Amino acid sequence: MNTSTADSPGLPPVVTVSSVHKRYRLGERVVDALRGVSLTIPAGTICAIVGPSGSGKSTLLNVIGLLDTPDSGTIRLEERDVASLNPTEAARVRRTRLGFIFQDFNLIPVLSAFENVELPLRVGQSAKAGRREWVMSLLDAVGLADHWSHRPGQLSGGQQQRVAIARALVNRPGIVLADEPTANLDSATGHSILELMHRFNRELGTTFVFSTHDPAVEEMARSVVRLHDGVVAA
Amino acid sequence: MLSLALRNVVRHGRHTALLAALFALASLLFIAGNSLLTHANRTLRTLFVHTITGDFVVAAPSDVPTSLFGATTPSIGELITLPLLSRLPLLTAELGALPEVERVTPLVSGAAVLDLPGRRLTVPIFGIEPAGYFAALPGIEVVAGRALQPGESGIMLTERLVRRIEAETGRAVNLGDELLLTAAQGQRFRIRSAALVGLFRYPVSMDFSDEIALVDAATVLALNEIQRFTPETNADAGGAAGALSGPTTIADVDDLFADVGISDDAVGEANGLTVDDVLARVMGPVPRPTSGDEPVGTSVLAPADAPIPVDAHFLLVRGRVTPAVRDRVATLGGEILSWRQAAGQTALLALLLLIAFNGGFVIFLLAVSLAAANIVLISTYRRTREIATLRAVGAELPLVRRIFVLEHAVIGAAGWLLGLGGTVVLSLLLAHREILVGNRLVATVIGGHRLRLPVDAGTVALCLLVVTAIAAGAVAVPLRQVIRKPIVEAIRER
Ligand SMILES: Nc1ncnc2c1ncn2[C@@H]1O[C@H](COP(=O)(O)OP(=O)(O)OP(=O)(O)O)[C@@H](O)[C@H]1O
Ligand SMILES: [Mg+2]
Repeated sequence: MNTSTADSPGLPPVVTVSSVHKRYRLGERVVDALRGVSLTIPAGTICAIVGPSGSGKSTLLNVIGLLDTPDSGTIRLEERDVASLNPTEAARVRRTRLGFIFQDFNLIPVLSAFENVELPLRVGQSAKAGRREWVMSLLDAVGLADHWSHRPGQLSGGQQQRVAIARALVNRPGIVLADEPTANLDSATGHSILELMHRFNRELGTTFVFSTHDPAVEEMARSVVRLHDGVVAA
Repeated sequence: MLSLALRNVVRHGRHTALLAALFALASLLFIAGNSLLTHANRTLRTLFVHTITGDFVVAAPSDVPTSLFGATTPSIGELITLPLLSRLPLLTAELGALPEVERVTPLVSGAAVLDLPGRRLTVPIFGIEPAGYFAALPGIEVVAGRALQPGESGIMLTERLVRRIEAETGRAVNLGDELLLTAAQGQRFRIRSAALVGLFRYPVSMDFSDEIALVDAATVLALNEIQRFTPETNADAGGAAGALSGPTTIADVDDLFADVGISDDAVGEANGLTVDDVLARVMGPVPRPTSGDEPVGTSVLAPADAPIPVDAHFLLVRGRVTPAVRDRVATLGGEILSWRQAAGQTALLALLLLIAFNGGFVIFLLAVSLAAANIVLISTYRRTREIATLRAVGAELPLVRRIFVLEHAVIGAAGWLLGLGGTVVLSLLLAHREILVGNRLVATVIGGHRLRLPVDAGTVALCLLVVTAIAAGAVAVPLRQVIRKPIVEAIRER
């Protein structure tokens, strides 16, 4: 069993992946995207998942993030086996314990930056008290307080990804999953996004797990998981 | 959630505008069309129930569909002989005694050629028993002269008919004028004269009803009696006339002889005059029985104190049709006609139009639904990624569904509001600017020449229901497809 354990001893792992398999079928063709992946990610780390294209990085992040289900193996999020979750519970876990940052941002075009950040709170129908201030403080933290009313179309790629980071953090999740968050950004902007992650990791204790191709970005992680052909490389 | 939906409605401006416009158009047509026809239907009902048919009518069972104007289809002048109610006095008495029946009055139906000064025209004639008739039909307004009196022989015409004929001929029609009525059937015909005692008016003027002549039942019976004519009854009748009717009968006989020429013309128009006809006419002076008289060609005795004719085609009834009423009528050899059946073609036409409009509207709504479904299908697929993002950040499926359904229901309601606004504007416009309908048929069906559009509240409510249901339904199907997609796939779609 390939297990790559990052540092920060003493804290319980937030993510435990054991022997996870995922196979895709495209007509006749069968692709084994994950072939028995096992790993643990300790709380409070910034973990990079790296590997060549097609190695299964996105697939791994998706099954951890409850956006996809593995064919076999178990995934534990904060000690809880996710296989037992029904769709409603899975949605609740996504909403309250997980944050997502996507390669192409996935902001909702008709909503302002403020509304996009607020969205997870709204769909969770959480209390209104203090909501506005909290959203504004997050926008302020990502440096977009002045742009709160702008629509995604009126923002640059880097600005959009910063809005996405604020959105991922708005529910104070334990884990933020980011699939190639810097791939659509120039290196300087990518660097600033990683710096933001470090800051929130420090200030809020959030665990960040992101995938990347970029060695420069990889260097900014505190632990690294290498994938190759659907297995964790030694 | 409502705010999320409302925000989407506002932010997807073009989509909202397009859909709302579609629903507005549908609502306008729905509300305006249905209101118009509902109004027409109500007007017709009120008109007929209060002035012509009563709430319902009892007729003798017949193979052909009949109305008060005769069989439903033939044009006036070739009236099919209607069957008589065989047990009229009993029916009258027994129905009148039922608690759900307020009034009962007999009606003898016929058609005759009416001679007015300078003009001869075929009119439908209603033989009535005045006291009961005017009490049962309070909508009839006597505007000149007076109403027919029980037992009296006489004729009443509509004010509009008389004024029209006067205008056309330049000759006055005066109260008290003796007017000739000629009924012809096959090779036989009969002439009666009756004094014009009064002019009346219906609350809503419809071309066809202008021509109705109200005549005492005895006269109409006599005019109708042609087919039952036999030498024997003729002799009886003649005797009765001579004995009981006094000067009226003599005048009547005089008229008969004096007017042979006129009658020739009248009948000659429809069918050739034969020697038999002339003989029949001369030999057949039928009396006008007053109350309690032994009538012509009948086997049933009238109750002594009731001034009702002993023969009639119909009983007009004010009251409700209940199983008890139905039962009584059936036992006594009658058949119940609704006011609509009794009213004949006009009311049926309005009903048919209503049905046709609604049938057409179902098709129209289907088209609107399809168009809406298409617009919504495209817009919903375009929002696949948005939906996936919502789900990724933890929106539960029922919430997503509620947001989308609510969103579209709001658009539907907005369209409805626009359509309602349009209809109200149209209605006010019609209230202030007089638009007249020239076409007789259309005018009759919409209950008058003036085009009116009173907005019907029930229709408005129904429309809201239908339109929001279509809007919400239109999004339900594509949404199901989109939601079924795995989030990971959906979120990557452009
Ligand atoms: N929905 C799918 N249907 C079929 N095959 C898929 C699907 N998703 C991924 N795959 C296949 O699974 C394998 C792993 O894909 P995955 O996207 O996880 O790789 P990746 O490491 O993220 O690559 P990249 O660096 O290019 O993003 C690939 O061979 C890919 O073609
Ligand atoms: Mg990938």
